[in-house]
Amino acid sequence: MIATTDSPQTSVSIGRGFLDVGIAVFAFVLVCAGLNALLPFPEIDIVSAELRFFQEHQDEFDTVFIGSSRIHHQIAPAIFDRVMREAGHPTRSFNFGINGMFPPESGYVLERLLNEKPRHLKWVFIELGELETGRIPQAEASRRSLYWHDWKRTSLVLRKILDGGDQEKARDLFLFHSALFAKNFTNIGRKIDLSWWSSHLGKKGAPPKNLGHDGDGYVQQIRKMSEAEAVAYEAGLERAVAQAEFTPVTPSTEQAYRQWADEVRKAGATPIFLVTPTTAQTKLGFRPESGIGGAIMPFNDVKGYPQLYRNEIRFDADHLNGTGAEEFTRLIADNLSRLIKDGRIQ
Amino acid sequence: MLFVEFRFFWFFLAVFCVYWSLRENRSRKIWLLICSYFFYAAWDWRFLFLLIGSSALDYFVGRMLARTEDPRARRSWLMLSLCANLGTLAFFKYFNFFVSSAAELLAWLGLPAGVHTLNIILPVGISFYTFHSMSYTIDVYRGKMRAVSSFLDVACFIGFFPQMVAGPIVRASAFLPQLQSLRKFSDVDVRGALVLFLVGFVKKACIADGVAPTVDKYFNSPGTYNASSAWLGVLFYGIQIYCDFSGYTDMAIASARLLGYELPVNFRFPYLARNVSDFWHRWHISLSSWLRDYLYIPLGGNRGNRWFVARNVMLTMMLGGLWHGGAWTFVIWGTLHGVMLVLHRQWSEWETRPAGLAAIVDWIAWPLTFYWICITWIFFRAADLSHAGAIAKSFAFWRSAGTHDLGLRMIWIVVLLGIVHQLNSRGVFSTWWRRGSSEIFAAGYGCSIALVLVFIPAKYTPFIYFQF
Repeated sequence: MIATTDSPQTSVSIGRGFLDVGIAVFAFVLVCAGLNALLPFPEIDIVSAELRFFQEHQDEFDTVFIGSSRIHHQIAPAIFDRVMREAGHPTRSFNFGINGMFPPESGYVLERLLNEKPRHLKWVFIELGELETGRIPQAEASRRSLYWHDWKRTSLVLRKILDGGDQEKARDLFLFHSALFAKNFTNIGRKIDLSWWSSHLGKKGAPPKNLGHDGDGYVQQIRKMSEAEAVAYEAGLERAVAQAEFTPVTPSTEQAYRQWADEVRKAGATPIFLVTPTTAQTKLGFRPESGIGGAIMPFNDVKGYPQLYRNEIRFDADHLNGTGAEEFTRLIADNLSRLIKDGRIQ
Repeated sequence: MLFVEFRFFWFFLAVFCVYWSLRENRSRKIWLLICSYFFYAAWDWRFLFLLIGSSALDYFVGRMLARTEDPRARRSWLMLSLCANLGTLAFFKYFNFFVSSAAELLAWLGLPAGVHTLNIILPVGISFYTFHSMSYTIDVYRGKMRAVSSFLDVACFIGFFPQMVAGPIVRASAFLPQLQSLRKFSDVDVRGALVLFLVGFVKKACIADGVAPTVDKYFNSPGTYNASSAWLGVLFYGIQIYCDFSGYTDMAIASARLLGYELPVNFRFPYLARNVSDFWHRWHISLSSWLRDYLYIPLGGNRGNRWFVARNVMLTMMLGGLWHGGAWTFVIWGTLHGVMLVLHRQWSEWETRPAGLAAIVDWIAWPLTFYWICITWIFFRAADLSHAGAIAKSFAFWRSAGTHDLGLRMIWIVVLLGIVHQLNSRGVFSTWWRRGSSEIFAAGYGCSIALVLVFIPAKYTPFIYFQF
């Protein structure tokens, strides 16, 4: 490759050069992997604080809800626990919903929760949805986009992108997520976490700001939709009803949920998949041969749950306000009680 | 494309592999030129034509200079090159500055004028490649070198990507001979170049970018901070600009070295200077020597009485300040350096100075020089003259109405870097990495990069000197 003369010494030099490059790359990858394992969990706004809180109190809870804002603002643990108690199955639940936390990020956080081995965990409600592969311009450069890009999550996302149809969009997304994986793997900028860790050694971190009024992770939304929003919402709902049909999740999403279901079971708990009452009426689920098991509670059904689609209990097209959240929570608890009573869930 | 970005790594890998696989010098230069233009176009492809145009013009002028011995004709060709290069630089860099300064002057004189400034984008590296370009035509004019017949050589010299956008400012007489001979990989100090690149990377990405947020915090609202914060902010800026610029230069020199070319050293531990003249033999050496050879000496240099020499020094330093940007703060920065250079010259030439005074000055030479350099950095960095004045007052007199504190405890960073700087100047770190086999070096290098990456900010801060 290196053009000097074609002598045996040159070939030896070239060979030696390649060996040295290989050694450097190997050493680099090894140290990156080691640092990745040793460095403290990154200090991600909201997520880290809530993880710490849960880890400090994990043995108090037997039920966890995990997902996006559709969990965070729509499931009230206090109401859930009361209904379950009245049904003869007392629970102590925690709402680990975080705004914008879609799969696979939610799966990553779920695994962090389970790694701490909470001793009394019985049920884990996981919001069911397709793996999120899109780019959110405002969040792209944030650490929140970066931290969950380990190989396990990134490979799922890349697989989903490659399975998709749009080639040009796929290339852009593929490079985007690969770059985030590379950045995460090489621990770029992790000195912030070292600084935070060293300055908080022996001290408790600040309590999370989004635990809600009762400190159980649920934050109530008070407002109702305006008239104009309600009109648009109803039109959207009508269109969605026309497209309502069973759609199994994509293979990569299925693989992701299988992994998470296995992790939950390994922790001694039962996974339950929750579809919140969004405008989209598509019946999401797993193929029968997927082997994931676990109950699915699909509440995105205007015919089955008309009470969850009234304008006055909605914050916006995809979120319930406080009144709606109470109703929704009661329904979840009722469903769970029924499943326990029927022996379909332990 | 910054040297600290991932994509530069892939870019350079491609350049390096293809370059050394080519057997002919001409092929290598063609490849280098394509890559250099690609590198430049990655910033803004529109200004690539300006770069090519500048190269073409000066090549043409060089050919014309070679064809005639007539002094008038030669002078005319030189003037064409200088006017074109300086005119372009003046338009892109100084048009709005001159227009708004003229308007302020007219307003002060009671003759308000409607001002129309233009939304001019400054082409990256124009100050640098313009000076590269002019050094070619001036050296040919002076007979210091012969005009080259190959446009490829001239274009490669002006557009060579490691040094094109932020220096070092390379002389045609030093670089063109290198381009004209086939480089041998066996002559390349690969280990030295890789270490130099890593050192530059650490300086820029870890140190300069690490202190940048603190500097920005202070300089954006200096009035809200206390006096100790003024010291910390200014000292941190001194660190930032040195590590940013010298770090970039290290990476530029290392990249060129890996391709077989030597670029001039641009920094020699400037913060160890014992007087301002010494500082300018250590800081941005390529610029100071360019200004000396192409401005100060043609103005008359040292040949004249003390006032004549002082004039030449002041003009050179003021224009040197202006070179950095179209703002009065830069002019004042240059003026302050000029004043100190003149004073130092007078001091050095004062044959009957008292021995006691000389001993005191010798003793305080370093802290006094460093203090003065810090004062000048205030003007270099401040957003405008009023900010600069406020910061200078705070710094010099330890007085500020502000109460916020940047955190004087961070001064340990300054102390630590100062110690490293001093040890480095004594060669403490310069050779230990040459020991050991290439395999051990490779393993150590890979580990070092992995460790360094932890300490860089996740976001890239542009090189400070790119704005010049």
